[in-house]
Amino acid sequence: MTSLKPRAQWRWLTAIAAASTVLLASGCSAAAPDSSGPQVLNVAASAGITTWDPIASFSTEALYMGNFYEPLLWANPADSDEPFTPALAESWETSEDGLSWTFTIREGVTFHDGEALNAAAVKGSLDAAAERAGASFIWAPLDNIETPDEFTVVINLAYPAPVDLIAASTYGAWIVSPAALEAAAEDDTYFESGIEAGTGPYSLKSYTPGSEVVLEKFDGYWNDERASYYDIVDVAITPDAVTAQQMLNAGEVDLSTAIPLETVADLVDDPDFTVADYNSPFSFLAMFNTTRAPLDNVTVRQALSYAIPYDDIITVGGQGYGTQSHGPVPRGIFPFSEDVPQYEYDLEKAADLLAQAGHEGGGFTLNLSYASENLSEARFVTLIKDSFAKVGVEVNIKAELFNQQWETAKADPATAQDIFVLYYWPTYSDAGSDNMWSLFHSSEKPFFNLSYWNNADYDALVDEAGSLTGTDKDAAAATYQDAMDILYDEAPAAFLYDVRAVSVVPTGLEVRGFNENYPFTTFFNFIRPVA
Amino acid sequence: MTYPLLPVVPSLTPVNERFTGLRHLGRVLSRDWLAAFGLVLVVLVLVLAVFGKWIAPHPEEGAGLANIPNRNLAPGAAHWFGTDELGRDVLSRVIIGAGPALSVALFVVVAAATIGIVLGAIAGYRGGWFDTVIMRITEFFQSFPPLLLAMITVALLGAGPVNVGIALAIAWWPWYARIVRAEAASLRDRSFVEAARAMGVPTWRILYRHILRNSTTPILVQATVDIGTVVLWVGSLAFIGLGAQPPSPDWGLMVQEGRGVILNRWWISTFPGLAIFVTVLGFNLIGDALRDILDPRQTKR
Repeated sequence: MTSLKPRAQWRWLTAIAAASTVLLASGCSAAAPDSSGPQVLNVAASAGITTWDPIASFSTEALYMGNFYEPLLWANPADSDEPFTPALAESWETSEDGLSWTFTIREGVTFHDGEALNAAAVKGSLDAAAERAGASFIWAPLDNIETPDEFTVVINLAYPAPVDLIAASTYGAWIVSPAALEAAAEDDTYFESGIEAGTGPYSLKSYTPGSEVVLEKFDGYWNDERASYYDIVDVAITPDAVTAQQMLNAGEVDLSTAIPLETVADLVDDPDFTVADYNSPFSFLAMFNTTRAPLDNVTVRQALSYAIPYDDIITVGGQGYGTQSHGPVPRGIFPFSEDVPQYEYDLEKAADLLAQAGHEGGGFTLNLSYASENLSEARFVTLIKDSFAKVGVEVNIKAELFNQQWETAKADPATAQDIFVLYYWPTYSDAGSDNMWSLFHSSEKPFFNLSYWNNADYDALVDEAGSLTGTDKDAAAATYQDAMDILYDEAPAAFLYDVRAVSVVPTGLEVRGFNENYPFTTFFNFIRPVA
Repeated sequence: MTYPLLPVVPSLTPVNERFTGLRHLGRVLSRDWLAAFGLVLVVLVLVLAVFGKWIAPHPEEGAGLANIPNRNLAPGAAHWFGTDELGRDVLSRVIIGAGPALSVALFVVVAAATIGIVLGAIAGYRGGWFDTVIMRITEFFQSFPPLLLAMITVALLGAGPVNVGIALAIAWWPWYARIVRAEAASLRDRSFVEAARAMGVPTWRILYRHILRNSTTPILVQATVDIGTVVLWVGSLAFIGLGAQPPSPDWGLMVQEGRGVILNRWWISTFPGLAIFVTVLGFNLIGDALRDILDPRQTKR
């Protein structure tokens, strides 16, 4: 059975380093509320701008985009009562076969450039996203979009898919002013001088490439619940986390979007800060090359899964901010399930299994590759080497820039690495159609399925679950869990840990609305001084 | 009054300068405390490089074995230089790191000098088209920033200490070639060389006895200073991820590993950084002193 499932075409490379940094952190000197003049928040952010085009955007500028633009729906954190918060759509419903989704568009919303929001604007944005977005593959199931009246949009699909989740994506789902889209169709560099045309709580006041982004509160913002406190947010683009930390210490900025994860431990007991951790869509896994000996033997793969020191890896790689994975789906992301079994660290069991597989005392060597720009991986791969050595398995570690590591892995499984350490996250919050499909579904040419694994039962379950996701999430989740049980038994990969996102907020500031569905975005409208 | 019959080699070739040089050394060291200090540093690093395995308090941690319960300990009685993110004793890491640092540096200098001396001597002695070609090649190499050239080479060959050695040797040989070539070209037409040629001394012998021996001084000075510089560059390449890979005890890599926490746990980066500093300083001081001893043209400080 062939599948039309979308696949990530391109991954955000710079974000790979994000595993080692805190997603939101703040300095000791929160801007003292000053009743005279505009309220200004000074921020150091690591994220640069690769494009201001909200359709093309598929990189670090996501940090800002969610302040300027809004989608039809916001996906809510895992523990919320409702899975979604209506944004530019007031309500929505799906047909029984899951092939037709009808959205009622909010009335009375204006874009920052004065255009009015209506069904045509939504259709224009989504059509553009499906056609040319960096993440256009998320709209692969789309057949056509109809606008039966001024405020109704009907999205028709070629095969069932969870349009609610897709419409809530961080990439390729922003609703953009039709006037700006028209201008961009004429001139594809239209946005690049620093133009935005969204409906969000902030507008873009000025942009100095490589150094500064200034956001200004949008007075005509429609949603009081997401209204911003600060009139001006002045962001200094600061790629280096140590520099950002120095700026915080010197009081030059009130907030930094990234400080080294290693420093969090020192702030936990500091009364000036509140440290909290949240779910994130990020996880680490070690994919075994199942095409050749000795890892083509399932018993060897199980043995090695027992020989991985999961707790130490979390301690070293995530500074303790992580939880051992239950399969390839990160905690908090659909279809995560705690019922998926895990391997525990048990060297005796590992040695027994190796002996059973005919490798008494190990005696073979494996090549492990990891992405050298990922600081967490750089630290913890050593632990895998140390631990495997204890069961007689030697590991050669090879560090390569991610792109190089990935190219080698895709080229030819027969000569590729034995173990591929991968940092992965779904493009939108459906790890079924992304992680489970992309990482383990068979394909003619390897892409992200870098175990080169081929299991017909698994493929069938994942395909079935994928078509259920839009109509019956519970049934889909149950089917995905059956598929993950196969992953546990067959062990095509060792599932290392799900990353916990950390936020460090000074006592003077309040930050609400942390959301694992938008891990790259800092919502400045949710930041205010403590009353 | 006898007239010298065979004034074949006038005193233009101070062949035995090395011996006067050695005698010199004691005097220079006693006078020049900086040179003495440099010698102490270099000897210290050499001792660590050779006997590190026995000196380091935790040699297995030095080589890279993690010890998670000991993570991030500040310098103290148990761990003089503290411990790093993986709980490894930083002092042991620094000590064990001396060996690889010096061996790569030695390899680079020896390889670069060998290539440079051979090509430079032939180019200078023969002249003509060979000289032109070699000199244009050296100019080509020298017009690149050497570290950039090394980075490109490593990127092509793949990261790792061996490739770093090859890359740096490739980036470095033109300097030696030019030094030797200059000497060879200036000596080529001197009467003692012509005389040797006339007497049928084979070319390789002329090159060795007359050309090379006269280039010893600048080569030796250059090589000594270069060892320090190469240590620095190997560290730089490792720092940007192109050199040794974790868990190797490479000084540059260790600086990089601790960089993110430099404000909170300064010791992880600082001590390997100091090790690089000490090594470079030591070799530079010795290089300066050698120049003073060996080069009669240079005025004394």
